[in-house]
Amino acid sequence: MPRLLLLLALFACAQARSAEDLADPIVARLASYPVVRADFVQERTLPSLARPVTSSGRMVLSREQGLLWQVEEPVKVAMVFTASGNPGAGAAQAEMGRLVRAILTGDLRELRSTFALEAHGELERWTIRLVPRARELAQYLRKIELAGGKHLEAIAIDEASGERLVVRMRNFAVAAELDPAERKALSLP
Amino acid sequence: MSVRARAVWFLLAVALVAGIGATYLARGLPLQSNLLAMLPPTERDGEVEEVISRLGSALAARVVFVVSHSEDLTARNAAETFAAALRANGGLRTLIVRLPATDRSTPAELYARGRFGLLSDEDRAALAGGDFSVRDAALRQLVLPLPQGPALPAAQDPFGFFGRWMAAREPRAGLVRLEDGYLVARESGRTRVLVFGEIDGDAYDQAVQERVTSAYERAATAVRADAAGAELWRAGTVFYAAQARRAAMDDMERIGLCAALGVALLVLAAFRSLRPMLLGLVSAAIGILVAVVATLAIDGELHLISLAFGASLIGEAVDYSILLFAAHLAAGATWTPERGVASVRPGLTVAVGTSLLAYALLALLPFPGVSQIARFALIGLAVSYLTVLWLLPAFLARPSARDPARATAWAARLLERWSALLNHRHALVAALALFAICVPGWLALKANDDVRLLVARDPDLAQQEAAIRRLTGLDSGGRFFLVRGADAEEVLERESLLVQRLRPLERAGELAAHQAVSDYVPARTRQEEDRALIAKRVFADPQLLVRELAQVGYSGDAGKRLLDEFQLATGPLTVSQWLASPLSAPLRHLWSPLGERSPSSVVTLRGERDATKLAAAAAGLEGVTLVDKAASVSALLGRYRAWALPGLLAAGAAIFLVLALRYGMREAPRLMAPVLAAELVSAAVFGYSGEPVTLFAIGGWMLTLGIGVNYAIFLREGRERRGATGMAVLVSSATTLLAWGLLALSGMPALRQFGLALLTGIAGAVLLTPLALPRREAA
Repeated sequence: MPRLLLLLALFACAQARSAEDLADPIVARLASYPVVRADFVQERTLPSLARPVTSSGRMVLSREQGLLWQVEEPVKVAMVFTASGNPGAGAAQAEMGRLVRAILTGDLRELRSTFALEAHGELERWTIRLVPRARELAQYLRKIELAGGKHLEAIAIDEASGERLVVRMRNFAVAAELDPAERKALSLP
Repeated sequence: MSVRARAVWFLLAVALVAGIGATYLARGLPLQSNLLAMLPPTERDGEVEEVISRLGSALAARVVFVVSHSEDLTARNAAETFAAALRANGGLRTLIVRLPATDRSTPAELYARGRFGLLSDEDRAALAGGDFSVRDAALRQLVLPLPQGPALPAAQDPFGFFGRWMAAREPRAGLVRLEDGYLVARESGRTRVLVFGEIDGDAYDQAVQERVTSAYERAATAVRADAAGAELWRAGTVFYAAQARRAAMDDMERIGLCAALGVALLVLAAFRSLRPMLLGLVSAAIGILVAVVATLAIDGELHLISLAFGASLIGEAVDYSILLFAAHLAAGATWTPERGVASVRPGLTVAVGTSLLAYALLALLPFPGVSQIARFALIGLAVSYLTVLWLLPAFLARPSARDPARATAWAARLLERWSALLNHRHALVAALALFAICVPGWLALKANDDVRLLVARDPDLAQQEAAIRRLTGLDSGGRFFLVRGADAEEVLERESLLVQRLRPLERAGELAAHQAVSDYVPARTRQEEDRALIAKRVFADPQLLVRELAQVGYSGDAGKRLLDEFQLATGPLTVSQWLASPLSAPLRHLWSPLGERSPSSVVTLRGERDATKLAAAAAGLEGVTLVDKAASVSALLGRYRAWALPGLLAAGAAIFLVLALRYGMREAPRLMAPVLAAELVSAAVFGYSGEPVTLFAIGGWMLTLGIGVNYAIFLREGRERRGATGMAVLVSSATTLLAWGLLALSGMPALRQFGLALLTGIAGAVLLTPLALPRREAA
């Protein structure tokens, strides 16, 4: 019995950790999958749009290689963030790439240097809110909200101009490595 | 005229020259210390030279610091502390630690009106290819999960043309990013904050250097006191220049002190009096004074190199007076100034004559720098010679109290023993062996004119600079393209042709980046073409555009409004608009470096690997010149060297001619032999030690030739007074070796090469001098 009590006590301690600490295991877990595939649906809201624009597609996230974001509907377009960074990328794109890479590799130090980071919930159901620290980024990015459990399931990007992008991901599949076509798409742009 | 009267007249003349010199000094001695400024223009093209000097002084004024710490906030605070302390201590004209917040709309203000004429290369190619669908292009913009960045709202740029054009203009995301106005880089667990500014004044000005370095030292102390563990890097021409000056001063102090002490002791030992040295220095100083004044009168300014080289003439000028003092000592009680002067005059005249002839030849070379040195030497030596004949005798009225035979016996004995050894029957074998030893040295001789080898850079500073360069991508400014045209439009057109050729080099990693105005303001023709392309592909069917934008999801009037904007915005973006915007601030120096009279621009380069590939890229482009100052200077030094070598031979031939006229064809070769052999041995030493043959080494050999042959002449002329002349030769060669040979220990490559040439050449010449005497006399 004392043993069980001890275990319970430890569990309680783990639950009582501060919200800041919660980010560590979340990011560590997200970074633990070698390759994750998922379907996504995204919805963009703009002041000048009469109605939100919805799109869907597939994404592949490789810890080593980077992120491949393929929109299938209503138009085909793909975007690549390589793990090494996109040479020649502009500052905004580079900032985005940095964020993606920091999540990929679980680099919380990098994330915290760019954003004020707030984690809520528990390891199985969490949200992380990222607010830019630097005024340059804050000029056009208000906040990013991430939510999920085992995986990153939702991203909401709020821009300073009032534009908003919400991405929902589902049908996650973890794999050991990329297939050749994905590898080719992610090998240099 | 009596000795005394002549001396008085001479002194009056010197005083007159000194008076003229004082008027020059009162206006500030126009002394040039910048190595590049010491050289004549490297470019045949005056405009290129002007751009180099403009850009060069702007770059030389630049200073960059990096303050780093393991903690973000501490690093920022340390940078602020550092900047505040630096500002408080003065020396800098500007210093920026935190950039002011820029308005997000600034880019749009400048570019938005002209945006229908601005297409990125990719969009231009895609539009020209013809497959453009309003619906797909607008949707693609909306479905990418990217923030818009500093571009326009989506409705004003529904296809992202302008956003992509702007993104291509953005500085490449390097290690440094902007955070709250701070330029910050994070690496190896440290946060590094950039601080940059411009010094107030010329980086080569000693006062400026002292102000800036002391301000830096104080600021560094403040930071270290404030934030333990903070680290500081610095880069800037002013630090190199200050360090180089300090090294030169250290050299001068160390070497100069050793030399002065050594010379004083030697002269004291030989003459039991310091008077000869003081008078010798007076004679040399008068020579240099007159040479400085004459050079200023002729050229208007004096190169530091002329002064340094000219100052080394002290070595030769002092020899003249030593000859007179040796004669004074040797004459003993029979001395009268008149007779003394008469006894040294023939030898002295021949010695001076050979040197003057050599320098006169040098003065004829078509290189302004070299000919200034030669004129300086000619005048200085001639005046020193006159000093020995006209002024010094007045100070030697009384005969020497010492027994002449005893005072000079040691020298006579030494000379005799050494002559005997040189004339030994095994001497020929030794000479052959020496020759054999020299051969590999000659074969190993290498010329190297790279000017960068002549600049000794402090390794610690160089390391800091390299680290800063890696972090910031700071360009060195050494190489750039100058683009010229009939008007601004042509300059932009030519520039964009050049940029098109540079892009493949950048993709191949041969070049890290370039900066060009046409990247920000395309030529008007290009803007008109782009606008025509957009008009044809996007706006050709207004109804379709409005309908499809509405279908995508835009509000009803979005298409109509876009159409109106396109029709209203007709004027192209111009350079003057760009120049007026705060966005152009970091790049304004690229435009119009020659002012109104010659439309031009500069394309700067960063991280270039191979200059020949750059040259090849620009080949055939009209109005485009690759400017590479270091290469030009190196090439110039190479041309000087190539001229100096035949010059050395010509000087040798001229000296030989004088010797032949005076001593006949039979004796002249023997008089020349010691110094020639010494020069050859010296060349072998250069080969063995790996020191490259540069202009400075040849300069040293040139001086050696003039000085070395004098020993043979003195000895030949003074055969009757073996002891006195032997002593004169030994003392004067020892002083020369001490004064200038010690330069071989200098940390500055140019001085070291010069010193090594003199050290080996003079030592060889004096050791071999007895060979100049006919065998039977010497034995």
